[in-house]
Amino acid sequence: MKKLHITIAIAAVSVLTLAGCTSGESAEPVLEITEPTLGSVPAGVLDGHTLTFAGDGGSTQDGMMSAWFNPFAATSGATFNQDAPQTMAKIESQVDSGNIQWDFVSSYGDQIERECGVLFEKLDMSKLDVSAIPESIPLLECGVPSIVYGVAITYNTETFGEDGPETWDDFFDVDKFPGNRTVYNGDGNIDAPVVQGAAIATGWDPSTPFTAEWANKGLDKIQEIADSIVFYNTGASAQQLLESGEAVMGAVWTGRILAAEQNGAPLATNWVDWISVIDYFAIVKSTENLEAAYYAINYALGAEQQAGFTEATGYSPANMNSKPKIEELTESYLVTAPDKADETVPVATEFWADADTVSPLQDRWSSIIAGA
Amino acid sequence: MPARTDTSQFSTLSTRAIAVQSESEPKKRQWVSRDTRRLMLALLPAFLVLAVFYFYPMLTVLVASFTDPKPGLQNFEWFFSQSVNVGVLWRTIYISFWVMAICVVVAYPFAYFMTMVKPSTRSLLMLMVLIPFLTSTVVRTFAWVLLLQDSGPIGSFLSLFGVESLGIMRTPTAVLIGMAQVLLPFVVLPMFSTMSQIDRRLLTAAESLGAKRVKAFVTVYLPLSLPGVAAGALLCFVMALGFYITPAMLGSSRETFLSTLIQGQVQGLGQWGHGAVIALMLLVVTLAILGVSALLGRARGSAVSDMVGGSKA
Repeated sequence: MKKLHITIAIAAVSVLTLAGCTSGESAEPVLEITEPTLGSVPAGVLDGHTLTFAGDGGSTQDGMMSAWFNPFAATSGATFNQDAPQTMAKIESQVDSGNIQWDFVSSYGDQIERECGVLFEKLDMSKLDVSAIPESIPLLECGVPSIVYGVAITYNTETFGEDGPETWDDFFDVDKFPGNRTVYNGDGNIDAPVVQGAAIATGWDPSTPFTAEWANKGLDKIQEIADSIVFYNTGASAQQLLESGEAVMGAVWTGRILAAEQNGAPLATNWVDWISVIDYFAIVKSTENLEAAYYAINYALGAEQQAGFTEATGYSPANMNSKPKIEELTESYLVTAPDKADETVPVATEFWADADTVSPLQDRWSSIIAGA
Repeated sequence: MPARTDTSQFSTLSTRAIAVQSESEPKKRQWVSRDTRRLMLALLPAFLVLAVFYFYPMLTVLVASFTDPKPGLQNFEWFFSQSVNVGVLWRTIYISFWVMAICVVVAYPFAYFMTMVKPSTRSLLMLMVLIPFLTSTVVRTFAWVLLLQDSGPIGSFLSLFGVESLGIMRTPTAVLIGMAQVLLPFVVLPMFSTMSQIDRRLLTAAESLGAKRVKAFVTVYLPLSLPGVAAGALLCFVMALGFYITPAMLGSSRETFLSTLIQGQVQGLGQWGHGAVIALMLLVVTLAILGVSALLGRARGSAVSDMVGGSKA
């Protein structure tokens, strides 16, 4: 019995000591960034500091950790935590309660734009070196690129041979190309790339502005063929649907098409009017670790780090000087390649960032997804 | 005094004996005897935990449905103006009902069988019920995904006989199978506990008075086992209403449950008010079902307990 008491006492003391350690972390302020060097961080500058990043999880976040944040933590001395999945609701509750658990996140451009200055810090670009970011990638007031990818049409070559769906028109034509197609369900959110793709199928000319009218026509199109759509809710499930052949075609994230093809799925991908999507880093409003977050983002954008990320995930580097060592197949999925850039339709970030316009579209989307 | 209403409600569901007591108690002026007061004290920790971790959050949800983002009834207007909400609510009730029906049909013979066999076999059967019961729902659901997908073992086996694709995954069938399996223990256990208390000599008596076996079973055994059936079915139905992961993993988006809509509104869109109002609607429906069954149980239960006489405890 006495022994037990001693054990408990020791346990209690060690817990208290540990608690004491963690609460005393922000003893010294972080050295302020004056002249950021892309892809590097002063050794030991974040000793004793803790930094938390939240992304979307999965193999993409694994790639971020191995290429960016693990080496960043090792050099800077920071204790680096990761979390997933990031959601606006959690960020909102953290900012509202003042209890910030995530210092920076990787999220959709339109959401960051919508919440810029509210949930996210307006970025001080003098603390980041953005000179090597390709011109095709726009910067946001609150965001710099984290994942550069796209949504393209891919199809099963065993089903369709070489004559699979080439355009969005084909993709939404169930008479010409019967079978299940997989499309992202947006995880609750209306998915901009799919709606824009569907709008193209109804006649939207991507060189003209995207409007609510076109969005509604796109939604009509999706609703029309909803019985032939299997919605995916994670990249992993999209990949699995393509690999198992349960979906004979899909409008899928480029990195996941690549991964499915690497696993031997018989796929061919068409790049006509592929939708280019960029996820962005954003720093959560009023975080105590603002400076440290800048250090981490500036590090991640380095040429070597971006190359490592591409090697790990197949997503394109956001640094012009990156020279990823990749095989031919992976190279064919790099969306920053010049031949792809000509055919791309970017996500209409400004349109989707307007909450009032999107709200009724969102309700329609939810209803189509739930089939009710 | 919300705590008391709650106990009486749950006791009605579980033990008939307490239900009978609580029915008569409120009529007496001095219903709180010293013993009961001591008992209440013992329950205090449980009430405190419930108050902090259940009632308080529920209250904030209730408040949020009227106040988020601004005070008013706009969330309720939104709920009823979107056909998807009402549609999914009905779907949730509909699928839950069928899950309950399947569970009752499967669990009844199983529980009956458990009362008939020798103790060692009974322990084995009990183990069969309890082992999946102790396994995480996510793990069990995922096992169903592996089993039921076209490329899974069942699909591969059937392909030997020329069946091209199983086609069960992402259908209501898959959701029913998965949910019924997850909820089965909750139906078997109350049924078994009721059945094991039924005096089998009543059957012998009925037969000695000339009733055929089937007739004796239907007129004597079945009514006596009904309280267990009702408790199991109700538990199953109410739990099914709140299911999230199983329909999401086994069904397509067309088998979405209300809980998935809540998740979409809150996590995906940050619409706390919309999420709160959906949650509130689900709660109202659940309470309504509990209330109706409590009334039904009271009306019929007394008749049953009269018949059972001594064996009701």
